[in-house]
Amino acid sequence: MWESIKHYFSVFAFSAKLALQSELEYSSYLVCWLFMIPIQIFSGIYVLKVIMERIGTLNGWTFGQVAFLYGLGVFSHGFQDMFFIQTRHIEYYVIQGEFDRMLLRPMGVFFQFCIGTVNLCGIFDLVPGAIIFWYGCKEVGFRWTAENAFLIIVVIIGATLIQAAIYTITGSIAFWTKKSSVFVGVNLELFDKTTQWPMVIYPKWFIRFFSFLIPMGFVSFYPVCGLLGISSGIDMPIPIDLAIWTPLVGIIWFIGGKTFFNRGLRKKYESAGS
Amino acid sequence: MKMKMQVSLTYRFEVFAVVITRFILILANVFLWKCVYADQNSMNGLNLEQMITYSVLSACLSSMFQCGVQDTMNKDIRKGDIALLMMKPYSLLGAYFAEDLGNIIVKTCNVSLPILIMSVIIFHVSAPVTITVIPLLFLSIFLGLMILWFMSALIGMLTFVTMELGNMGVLKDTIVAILSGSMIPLWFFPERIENILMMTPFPYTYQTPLGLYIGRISIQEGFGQIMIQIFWVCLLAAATGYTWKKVQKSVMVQGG
Amino acid sequence: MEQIVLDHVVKEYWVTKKKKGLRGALINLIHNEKVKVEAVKGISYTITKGEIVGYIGPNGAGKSTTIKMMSGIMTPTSGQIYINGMSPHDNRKKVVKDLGVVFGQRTQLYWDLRLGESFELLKRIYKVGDEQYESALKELTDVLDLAGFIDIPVRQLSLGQRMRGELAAAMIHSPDILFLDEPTIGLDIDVKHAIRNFILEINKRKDVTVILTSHDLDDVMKLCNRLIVINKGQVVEDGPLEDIVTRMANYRMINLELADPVTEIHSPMVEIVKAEGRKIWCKFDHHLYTAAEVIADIGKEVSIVDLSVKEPNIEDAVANIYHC
Repeated sequence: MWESIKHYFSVFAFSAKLALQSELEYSSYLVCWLFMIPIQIFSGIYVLKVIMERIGTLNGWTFGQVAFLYGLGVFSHGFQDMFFIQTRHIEYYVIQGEFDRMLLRPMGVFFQFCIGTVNLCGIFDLVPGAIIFWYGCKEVGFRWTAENAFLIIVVIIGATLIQAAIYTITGSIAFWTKKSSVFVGVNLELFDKTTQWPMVIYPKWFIRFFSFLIPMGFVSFYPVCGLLGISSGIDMPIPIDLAIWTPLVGIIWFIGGKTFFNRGLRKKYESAGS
Repeated sequence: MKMKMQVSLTYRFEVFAVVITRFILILANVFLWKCVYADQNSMNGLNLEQMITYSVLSACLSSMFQCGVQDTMNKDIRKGDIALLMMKPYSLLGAYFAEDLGNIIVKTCNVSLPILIMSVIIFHVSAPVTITVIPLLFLSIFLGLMILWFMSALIGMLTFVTMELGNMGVLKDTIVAILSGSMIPLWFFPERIENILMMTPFPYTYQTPLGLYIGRISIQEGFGQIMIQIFWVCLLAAATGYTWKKVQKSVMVQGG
Repeated sequence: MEQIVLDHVVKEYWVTKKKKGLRGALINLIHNEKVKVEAVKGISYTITKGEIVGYIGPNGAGKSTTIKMMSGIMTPTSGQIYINGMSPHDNRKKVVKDLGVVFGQRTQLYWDLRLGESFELLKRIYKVGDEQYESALKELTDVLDLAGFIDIPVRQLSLGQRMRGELAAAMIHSPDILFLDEPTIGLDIDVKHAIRNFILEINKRKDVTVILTSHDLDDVMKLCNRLIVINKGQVVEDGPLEDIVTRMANYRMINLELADPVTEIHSPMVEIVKAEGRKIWCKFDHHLYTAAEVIADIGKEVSIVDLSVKEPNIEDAVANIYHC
């Protein structure tokens, strides 16, 4: 067991190093994204600012709290971009038969698939996200205790896993229908609207749907409620406004996503061409 | 154009997903506005109903206003096909336009119409403020489209210069989305910023038709804005034509 | 020792039939017609360790499909496959550890990496020990002459370089089974020779079992001791190469050099293929006559100065098999 983990980690580390190297060599195309992504992110928060200047609070949330949430959401989006961007391309891999190569190797296919790329564009999300998050921290007077720091870290990890899991599940549909890249657009839009805006603006049924059916609420809404002591307004038998739920939900969903992926791969993958 | 329609129809799954995506966007926006307007009746001269109408129609327009020419040109230039394509016995620019027009018609039927219908049923989307506004509406939508199309064409041609730097089209789309009033009307922005923006072509793509529809822009103002639209269309058309000629010459010389 | 066993392996899959034209596209929106394709219809054979088997058949016969099933990429619809006693579907990772596969049509290398980096990555993936890796790498570099391009990104390699790289990559972990699917496609004669020698070497020294698919029958002729021919998803021939060729090829060629130029030969046993001055190329049906009989018969008409009799031609044999 320990041997296996060491093995997987060493392959991951080496592969990441190589992937990073080759990204850096051909990085000129990143220039576009360098401008575009931060513009989008900052204009998104600017829109909220403009609106909130007129109304003061958004259903009880101050602008500082909104910024805190927004920054955190963007930040974990960036992480997902960096390490799990492949999950958005499952359809391409299915149609082109690119999984053949991975099936021939004595390691898990999903693992090989995910470690194939380190996407530097993710940094363009991380930095603006961190800036906005930092601003939000100051505005709400967030205290960086050891416990809080730990929670933030595991929340980010959990949030990344949740998003990766959802992309994986929607992407794996391609094993059955050969088409799944359409969901990427849906996912992107959905994630933005549920992780960057406080979900209090949505009706209860919407929040419930996107917490228990599709766990977007756990990416930033519930943990932020927990961290800042705001009530999410959702009453459950067990308190749900806790940051610690996020990594747990993340792990569960990630395992689920991987299982679904493997199912599609074993049962339905037909390679490509002759 | 017929071929493009055929190919588009094949992707029924895609179409469905695009509709859902757009609808989610509208849904989220509507909830946001409902929340924002919870304690107020009007903001910047707009009430909730107008705001919802604005958001819904903005999403419909953005599905219609997709100009593929910047990506098609980008692709053709990078792959080196552009030289061959220019030798064909029809105007290449015209062909790009026809292709995009075909796409737009399909998108309108496939995406804009369904989300409009769904939104009308679920939310309170009001009808155009007066009947007389309707012909102006169509005109301003068409002009807005032309503005965007010429911008796309220019961006597409920019690929000759920026091939290494990546697809500028995405950057342009982002800027358009923000500055054209498609996300939130420019009337919300501080006056200084609004004034600067009104000197660019961007607001005249989305905000003009939308403003006319909800009545925030009166008919007289509307005429004025349409004049400005026409101005921008001519300017951009000229710029496009001029740049295209230069591009053609350089391709012929270098052989693509 | 039985190493590879296929038992009534069947592979079917469904393909969507797309209708043509605008009207067809509209219909496709609502209803998709699916058609069943039977790629492999019950194939059985057993391969023992150390054999070099030629696995040939016309395009679409099911060769690549079988190889993919044997390597764990595809799952048979029914039937069993055992490689070293294990099923590639159930025990993919274990089976694949001892397998080396080269697909001529697609690369198994990592497109963006340098060739050497690909090898290093594979070393870690297959858990090859440092010493073993060094010696394998050295040997492969020497035999396949990789030194010149081992530091070049795979995407920039020429076809010949890439194929040599693929072979090396397939051997880095010293597998004892090698599947080669069109490994020499599009290569020039030098590279082909290098690859052929390489295969013979490793088979001789390390007893590596090789299954080779190739449209280049020269490859097959020079390397394989056994031939399995598959057509339309079924095995049509399976046995020692020479036997099959002798049986299925109708003709043998005789090249004659005569004392005097001649334009025709009356012997009913032969048919002239080409005549140039004093040299004649003709063929005879070796199922009907022996070479000795034919030479004797010709000798009655003309004076032979020199002659050579060719073995039955594999292309001939295979063409006949395909048309059965």
